[in-house]
Amino acid sequence: MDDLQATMQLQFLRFNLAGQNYAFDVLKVHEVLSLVKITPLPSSMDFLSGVINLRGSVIPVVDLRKKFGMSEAESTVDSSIIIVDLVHEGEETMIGALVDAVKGVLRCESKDLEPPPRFGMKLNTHIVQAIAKKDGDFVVILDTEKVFSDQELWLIREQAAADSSIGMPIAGDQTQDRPAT
Amino acid sequence: MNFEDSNGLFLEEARDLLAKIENSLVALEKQPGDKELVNEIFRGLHTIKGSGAMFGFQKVSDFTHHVENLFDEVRNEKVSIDSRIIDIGLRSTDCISLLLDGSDAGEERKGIISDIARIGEEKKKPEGREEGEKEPAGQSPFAGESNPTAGESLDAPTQVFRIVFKPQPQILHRGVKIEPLFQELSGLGICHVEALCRDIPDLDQLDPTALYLSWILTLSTVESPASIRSVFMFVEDYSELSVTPVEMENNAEEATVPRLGEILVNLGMIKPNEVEEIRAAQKLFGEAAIDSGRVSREQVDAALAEQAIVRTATMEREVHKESATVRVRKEKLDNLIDLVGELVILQAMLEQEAKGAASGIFGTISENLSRLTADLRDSIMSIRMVQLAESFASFQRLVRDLAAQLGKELRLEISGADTELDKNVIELLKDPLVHIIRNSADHGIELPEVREKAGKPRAGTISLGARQVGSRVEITIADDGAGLNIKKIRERAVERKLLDPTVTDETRIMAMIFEPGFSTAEKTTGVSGRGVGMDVVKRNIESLRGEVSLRSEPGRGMTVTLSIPLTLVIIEGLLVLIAGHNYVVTLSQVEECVDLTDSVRVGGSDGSIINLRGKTIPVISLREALKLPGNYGETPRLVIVSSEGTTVGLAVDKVLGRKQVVIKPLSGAVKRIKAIFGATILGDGSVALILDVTEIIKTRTSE
Repeated sequence: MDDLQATMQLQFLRFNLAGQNYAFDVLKVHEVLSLVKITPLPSSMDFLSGVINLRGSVIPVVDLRKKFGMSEAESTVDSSIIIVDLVHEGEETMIGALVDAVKGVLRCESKDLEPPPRFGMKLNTHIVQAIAKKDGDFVVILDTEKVFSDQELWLIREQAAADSSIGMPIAGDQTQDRPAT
Repeated sequence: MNFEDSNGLFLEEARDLLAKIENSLVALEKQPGDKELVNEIFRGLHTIKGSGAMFGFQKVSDFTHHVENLFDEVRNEKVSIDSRIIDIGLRSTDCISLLLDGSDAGEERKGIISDIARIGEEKKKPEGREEGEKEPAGQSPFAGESNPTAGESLDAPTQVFRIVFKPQPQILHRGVKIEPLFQELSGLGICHVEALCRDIPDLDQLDPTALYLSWILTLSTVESPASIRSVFMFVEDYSELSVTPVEMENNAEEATVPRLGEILVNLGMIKPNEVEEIRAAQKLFGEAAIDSGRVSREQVDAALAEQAIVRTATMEREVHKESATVRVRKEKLDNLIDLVGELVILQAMLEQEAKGAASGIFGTISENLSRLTADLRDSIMSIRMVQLAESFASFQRLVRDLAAQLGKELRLEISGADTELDKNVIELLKDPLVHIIRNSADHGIELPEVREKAGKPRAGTISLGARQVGSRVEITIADDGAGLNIKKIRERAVERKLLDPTVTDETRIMAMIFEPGFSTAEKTTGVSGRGVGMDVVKRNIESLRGEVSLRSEPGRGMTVTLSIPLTLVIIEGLLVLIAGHNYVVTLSQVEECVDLTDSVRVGGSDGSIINLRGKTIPVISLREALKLPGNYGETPRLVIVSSEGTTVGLAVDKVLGRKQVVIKPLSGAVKRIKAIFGATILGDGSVALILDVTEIIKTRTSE
């Protein structure tokens, strides 16, 4: 098993965030979009930038800079949205990650990977899957499930549930069978 | 369509029939004298048997044959209805359903068959009773169904039907056999079959795999046209079929039997004036008709047969109304709705383009398309609307089983079953309703002795009702049991740190039963431990954008009310602009739009109350509610909305106009943000959020 892993080619999608190199496992990446118009959400989570239209589906977008507590920056022509496939509570869903720039695919072998250091990282280490050393460059490989299933991101849901008294409606009298035309 | 599809079609139909049989069985237990119910059960079994054999489900057919025979005896009043018969019936439906799923259910099958045989023996019929599983249909002790005179032993009036059956030439490619159909028909009564060969082409044009025959059948039976049609259920889509009752008078006098000429005219073979021409020739009419070359020998024979059968039958005329229905796979319908959704979006894009275009004709086309799209959408939505009746009726079985399991006496009362709801919504409702009913039966309704002591009738009643309230459907599940034990729930909730000990509000305490895993039951029973499942109820209902509310009176019972939107797909909305972003307000909640000028502003430190024609209305700043930057201009527009009896004005930058929007679900974290319940995609491809006005009002007024 170890032998197999040692020779296995691994691929990561590398991206840039506040001058630092990060990467997601390519198998988790659905696609990469250039920056489109994001519709803001009235949410208390300010890292939740809003939602976008991905060929008819409405996908939430998270600003990774804000999520990781980095300084805010103006969007540039390089700004991209990485669409990541996720499973949340047994539901398959997609989420967008707003990053400064996508830097292409990083190929390496498992021997190039090192476990994350216990300290000395800006990020909460539990969301870091590994550190890749390649050509003298360090790339922080993030665990998508942990980045986006992070308690706080889904907190909105918990909050809503906690707030709800018995008859909390998700919607009011909003729909109708046959709207007057 | 291929053979597998036909199999799927059979499975689907068979499951529907099973559900109906099951409902009739449960109903029959309450009204053992209802002959119509027995007939329904018998017909259902008969169809399953016949079509099972036709589609190669031999085991299903063989097994159903035994059950059918039992119910034929019941139908002929040779076996009386008791709980044993009902039990066998219900077990059989379960068993058939297992067989349909591909399982063998051998033990269960044998058990039921021997039980049926035992009942047969008890009746002490002279013939041998031994009944093996593999016994061919005809030799069963209960042979009533294949007896051509079976109909005469019943009170129902005999009626003569003319059946014109013209299959498509390719029908044999679908693996359909025709002969079993006729055999089945002869089982229903006296049947005359006449084949028409006139469509057979010359040999050089003949396709040996095609079927060129059509048939005229004359059937004298007590069955309804619907059950005759059900014989053709699986071939109806691929053939022309007409089932018409032949006119008859109340007595069988010679004069009232239709004349041959009339029959031929009715069959559309010759015209009335031709009848007169032929009649003028003063020959025997049939012969003359053939000689004239207008009709063939077979056609005249068919007509003669009909004449003969009508002549021998004496009966009352039945007037039957049949609504023509088409069965469609649900996926097809869902697909259609998705397509309409896309069409609506595309139409919105076109409308936007047309507004900017110089050409007048473009605008007209766009306008017409918009009207057409709206009509199309409405028609398609109405296809999806289905009555709750079938779904509700299936709970009778549940309640019956629960009563047996729990040793309680239970009654289920159903009202408002004709209320219509989106088919998809009905499906999603089923689980929550099962949970609630189980909960009521297990925890709500007391044991008969306890009820008697409390001065209540021994049998507990669960009432299941539905009604439409505006654009929502309200479903109530009420029981006359003990009600919720508020004190106990509170204790347990405080103990589990779910509730602050200072809370005394009963509604909030009752809400605890929706917490995951919450239970006050000392021991969990096989049926339910209180709370298990109730959180599922809440989650499912909320995923339908519905509401759950509870009412409970100690000693009097509990009522659960579910309020569900009629449909989940497309709504008519009002598009507004705030801080450069588009939002949608549900049009049904909008009363009017006004300007927020000084003339209407009356109070509030920030001018947040207006006077609209003598009515004082609070204003909600959507900028604030939605956490949007910037300020309103001099005179913001107000959208006056009302929800749950409260009227407020929503301040917006601009009202952009009416729009039909397709609701796109939101995922994950976004799903639960209050103030919005969904999103939609506009003509330019951008996303607009749909505001949850009710929630916005609630949040604001509670502050």
